[in-house]
Amino acid sequence: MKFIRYLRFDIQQGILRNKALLFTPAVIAIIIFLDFVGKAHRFLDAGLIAEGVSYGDYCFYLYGGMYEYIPDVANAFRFPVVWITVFLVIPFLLLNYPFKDLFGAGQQILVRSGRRTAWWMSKCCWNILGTILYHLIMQLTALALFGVLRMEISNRIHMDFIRLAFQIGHQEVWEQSILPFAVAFLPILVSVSINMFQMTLSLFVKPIFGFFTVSLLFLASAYRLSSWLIGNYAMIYRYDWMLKTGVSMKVGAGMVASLLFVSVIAGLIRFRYYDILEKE
Amino acid sequence: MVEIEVNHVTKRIHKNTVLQDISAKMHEGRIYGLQGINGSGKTMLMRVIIGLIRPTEGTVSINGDVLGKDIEFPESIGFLLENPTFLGRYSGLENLKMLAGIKKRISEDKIRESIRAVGLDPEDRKKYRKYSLGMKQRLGIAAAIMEEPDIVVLDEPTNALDESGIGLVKEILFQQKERGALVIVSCHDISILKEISDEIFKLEEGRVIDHFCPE
Repeated sequence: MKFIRYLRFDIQQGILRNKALLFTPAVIAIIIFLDFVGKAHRFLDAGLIAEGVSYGDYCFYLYGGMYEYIPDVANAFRFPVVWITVFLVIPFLLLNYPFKDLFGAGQQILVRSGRRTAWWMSKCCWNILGTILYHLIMQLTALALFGVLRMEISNRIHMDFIRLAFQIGHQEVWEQSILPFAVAFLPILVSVSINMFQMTLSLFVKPIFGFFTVSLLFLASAYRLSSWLIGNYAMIYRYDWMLKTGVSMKVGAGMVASLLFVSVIAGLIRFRYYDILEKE
Repeated sequence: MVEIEVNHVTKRIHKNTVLQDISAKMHEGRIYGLQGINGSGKTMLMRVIIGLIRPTEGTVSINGDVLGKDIEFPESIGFLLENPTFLGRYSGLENLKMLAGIKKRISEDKIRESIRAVGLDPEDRKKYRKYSLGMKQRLGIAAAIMEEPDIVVLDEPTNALDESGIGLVKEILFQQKERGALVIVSCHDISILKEISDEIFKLEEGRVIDHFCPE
């Protein structure tokens, strides 16, 4: 029962009253949408693509990531701006709330509730809900824009657009025409597990160092295609569904579940002995 | 009946020893004063007793139950630590109602009574973020006493208060003692501490260097 009260409090204070969490994804979605539509128009006007783009293309644009980077003097590493924005803003938005709560009003609630476990589990649920809501707002904002501009709302993808947008050159890809739900959903699950990892890490080091670690993990994943770097599973383009030498989605799902489980349990154990001082 | 036993407690944080081999026994119906300069370990000892930090060595027991082993926090405790923090967008009454909602032991009337007892108006709709330092302090004290807990821990409760506010705090502390609570209070002003305490523990560099009953 105390857990439910905690969760209600966290949803209210950490999500519903968190303006940054509610508005930032909408703003990001609008900016990315404008960039996406601008590119599509330029390609269409130049005769590089055969027809207009759809919502499926937008999802791919959002979560696609980048091509496999092969280090070479003639091949400079290009920062995947859209992808890194989508995935790094959310851990930043979720960074401080648990600790502000713990060193503020939440401290009174924690002692009155008498249970550290309930506090941690509630924060875990808050973290998962916050991440899913962030991606949902992003998707819904784009859907609304597609509706207003009477653009095609379907899960069709256009390989001619994707080849140009993601600069697919020498790499061998499967010719796909439909974006399955599972493919679009896995990046969100990766985001959930990485944000949980960050929250757990923040019990061991200062929250800002947790954020730096997560940032490095994403950057390393963009730099190197490897089944060991979890960020690769947040890039649709690098799945074996698209890229012939890509990472397995099944392995990705397993990795996400493992990281989520380990983070929740490690945090639970750590928080039992965590010293709640005035300042972290 | 309530009894706190602090048994050879040592706390080290990042290789700094902030509490060193502290032992004390405290009983209901008495006021225990903690005296010492900033950094002497008063607040840290309070945090250990509340259960917010775990001792590196030694134990704290509440009625025989060891904190961190048998129980995570004392069953019935109200506290005010350093700067009270509540939700900025709620009024004083709304904040206390939210806290009281966790245990659901007291009525709204009782919450209003506690707010009045510290000299605030429960009908005041002003948001907490617009409170003065003194008002914040008073609300923090109201939160600590409203549920009539067995243990009341107040860290520098007279901070930011004027003469009348300090008088009110003394009165509240005596009321808590009278109803049988075990009160632990720290204060910079030794004269106030001597006036209100039954026993005083003097701390210096994390050690109890003196324990006495003021005249």
